[in-house]
Amino acid sequence: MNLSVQNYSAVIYLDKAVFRYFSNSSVTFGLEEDSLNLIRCVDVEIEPGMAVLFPSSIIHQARKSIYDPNSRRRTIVMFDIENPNNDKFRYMTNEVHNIVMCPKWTQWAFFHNFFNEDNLSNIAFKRLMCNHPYSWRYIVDNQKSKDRPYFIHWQITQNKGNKDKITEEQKFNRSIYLITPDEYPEHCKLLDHRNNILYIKNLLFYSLKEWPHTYGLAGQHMWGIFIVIVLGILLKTGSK
Amino acid sequence: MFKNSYKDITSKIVEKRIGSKATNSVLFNSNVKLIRLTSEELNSVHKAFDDNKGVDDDMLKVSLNEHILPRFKNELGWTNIRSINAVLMIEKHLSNGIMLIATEIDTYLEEHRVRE
Repeated sequence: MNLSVQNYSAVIYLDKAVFRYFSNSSVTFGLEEDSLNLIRCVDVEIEPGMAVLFPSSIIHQARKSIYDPNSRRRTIVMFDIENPNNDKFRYMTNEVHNIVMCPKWTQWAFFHNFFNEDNLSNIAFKRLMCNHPYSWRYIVDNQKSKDRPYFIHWQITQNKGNKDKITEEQKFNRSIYLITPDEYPEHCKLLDHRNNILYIKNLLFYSLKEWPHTYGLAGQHMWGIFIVIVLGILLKTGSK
Repeated sequence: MFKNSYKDITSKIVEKRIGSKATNSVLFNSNVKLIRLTSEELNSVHKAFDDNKGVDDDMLKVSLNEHILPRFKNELGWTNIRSINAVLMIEKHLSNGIMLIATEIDTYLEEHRVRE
């Protein structure tokens, strides 16, 4: 079975919105259609009460409704929808799923301050279309299944198994876990990379290693802006 | 309902990547499923949402496990189903009109990819 159709995500919409996806955009094993040379950008206008169920590896994006752009968008996004009956087979055949827990700052929508939504999408999609993650993510080498395809995803929350006190901002915006920490299937490997120094070190090594393949892709100038601003802040702080 | 918005930049990348010609036909991917929830399914989700209090985790878990996931299982034709986590969100409008996804939640415009 194609790996791409073993792991689904879903979005349940309570308000109007647009779901954008690129058909056939999964990497290699995820070519879902017979017609391999057709990749299309499709915008699906969503009515309240609808759900979209899609292979997680398809490139996709949440967008505002064309007809009602000011609508609030309450959604429930479900991740890692899988058939547990395949767990044993996936573990035996080394079809690993790496879950990398990242520092919170990696989710900071920093570049939204400099680019509009379309520009940002084009920059992001360019990297994804060329099979590279965003410039602030890295792929963890998996020695065990080096020659086999495997899933990887990045998240900033962790499954603690107990309820934290919810702040005002988290009333609607947070993760809830549907399984306990000890219920993860064996093919899922949780990697705790929340340590800032570890993360930046890994990111640096990965970026250097991938530089020949990513040179010319959009993303470097984003880092340029980021570094200049951080240096500016440091210099300003130091001069006080 | 489906609007094809094939962007220039994307088409160039796509053609570069797979060396194909863009065609005019729009093909709705058979692996992407658009589902209209029944009133019972939707009510179970709505019950967990309160505009003032926020979301009731326990109610939502029951709704997802007992109403939504079984529906997805049928749509996918699977024998069993499980989801690891769910993210609840309201996307915010900023004053400059840029959409910002709340920073305290998991990735959404997601680079959830298969690695070869």
